[in-house]
Amino acid sequence: MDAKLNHSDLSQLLSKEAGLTMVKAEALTKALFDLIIEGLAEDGIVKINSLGTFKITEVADRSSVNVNTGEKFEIKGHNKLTFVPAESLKDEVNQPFAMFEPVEVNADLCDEEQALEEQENEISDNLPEIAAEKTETEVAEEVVETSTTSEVEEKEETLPENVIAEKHVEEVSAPAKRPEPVLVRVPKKDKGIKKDAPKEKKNNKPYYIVLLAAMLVAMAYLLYNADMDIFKSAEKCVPAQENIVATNVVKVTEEPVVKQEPVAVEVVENVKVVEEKSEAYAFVMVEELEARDLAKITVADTDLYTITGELCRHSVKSNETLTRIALKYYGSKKLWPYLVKHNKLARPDALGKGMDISIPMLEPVE
Amino acid sequence: MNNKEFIAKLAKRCGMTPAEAAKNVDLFINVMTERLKENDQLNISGFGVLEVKMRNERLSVNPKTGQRFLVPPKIVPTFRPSSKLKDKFK
Repeated sequence: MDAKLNHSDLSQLLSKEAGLTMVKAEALTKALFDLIIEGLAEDGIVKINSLGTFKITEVADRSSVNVNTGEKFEIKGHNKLTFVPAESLKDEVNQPFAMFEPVEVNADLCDEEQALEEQENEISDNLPEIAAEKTETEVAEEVVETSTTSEVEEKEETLPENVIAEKHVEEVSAPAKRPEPVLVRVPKKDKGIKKDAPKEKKNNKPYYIVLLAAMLVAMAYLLYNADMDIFKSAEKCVPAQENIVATNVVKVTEEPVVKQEPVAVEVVENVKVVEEKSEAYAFVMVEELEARDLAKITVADTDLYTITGELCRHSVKSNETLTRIALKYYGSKKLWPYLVKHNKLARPDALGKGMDISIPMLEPVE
Repeated sequence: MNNKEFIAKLAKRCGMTPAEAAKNVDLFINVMTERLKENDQLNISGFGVLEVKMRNERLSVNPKTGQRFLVPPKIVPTFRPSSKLKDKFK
């Protein structure tokens, strides 16, 4: 047990077993191992029944890294001596454990684990979509933000407008156009520092609350329509924004009227004329702002690249999504909207197996 | 070199008939197997070491079917060539 036997010990055992003299037994064992070595040198393989196979196998070159210096170096390929024991030897040696057999692990557990794995896969599959949703909500937030700034701007406008209106009430003349271009320019500058706007936001709490509610509604709406592409959602954002703007405009018109009621009827009429004009201006301005904001949003999300032609065609396989196709051809999941745009897909979420879609060539916009 | 050739050469070298040689080789292998079963280590100078090693149980998964199997522990015979022999074939 656990003894270390050498050549002579084995020879002794053999001489006892076979009834040979010690000298003969030793000669035999020596010849046996020498012959194995010789056979390996000759053929590279020696098979001995009920013992096993000695074989020389080649080990290919491989690169490694010096642990101390981090330098790369190549380990040269070399030959290796391997031994594959014969079945009979294996069985004999393994007798204590012979009664064991491979058992399939609990089927239920197996299923659960598989289910878990599948879930994980699904989650990873959904990740890009979630990311897409995120971008959509971001878009919505941006839209809302811009609308807040425009509202803030409008509020600012309303104040001077009232002043102007009052001035005009005294003068009863309506060249209100002149000061307004200046007012128009002010919001332009404000747009550059849009991110500073939240400070202003805190000052007018009622607006802020209304906006928050609007934002929540918009987000809920977007989440509900998660399967819609960015383009559509962007388009849908526009009417919402217009509504907000419209209500603001209504408020703008209402406030001054209330203030100027005590003035004489004729004056009020003039004021109304002035206000109508300013209202019209406000509308034009707001529309301009909207157009620019929208342009900005679209630049940020879908106009980083231009479609310059067709790269190739792609036949959709089962379980393939637009994000996967985008990842395959562009190396980025985020570029899937271009596939929708280029192929004019009505339902990007319902990508059927075998569908033939065109992969657009994209060039970054300078 | 297969078993037949091996026995033939061994018989020639030891001055025995091939049948005798085969019988003796079988006996010798039996002796070695018995020793290995007893957990002994066979050190053959200039050749290498024959010993047994215990392999622990492990979980294996069939990549095709996804079935999981518990592979039981087992004892396997191993051979470690001596450094001399290793260098010879390097």
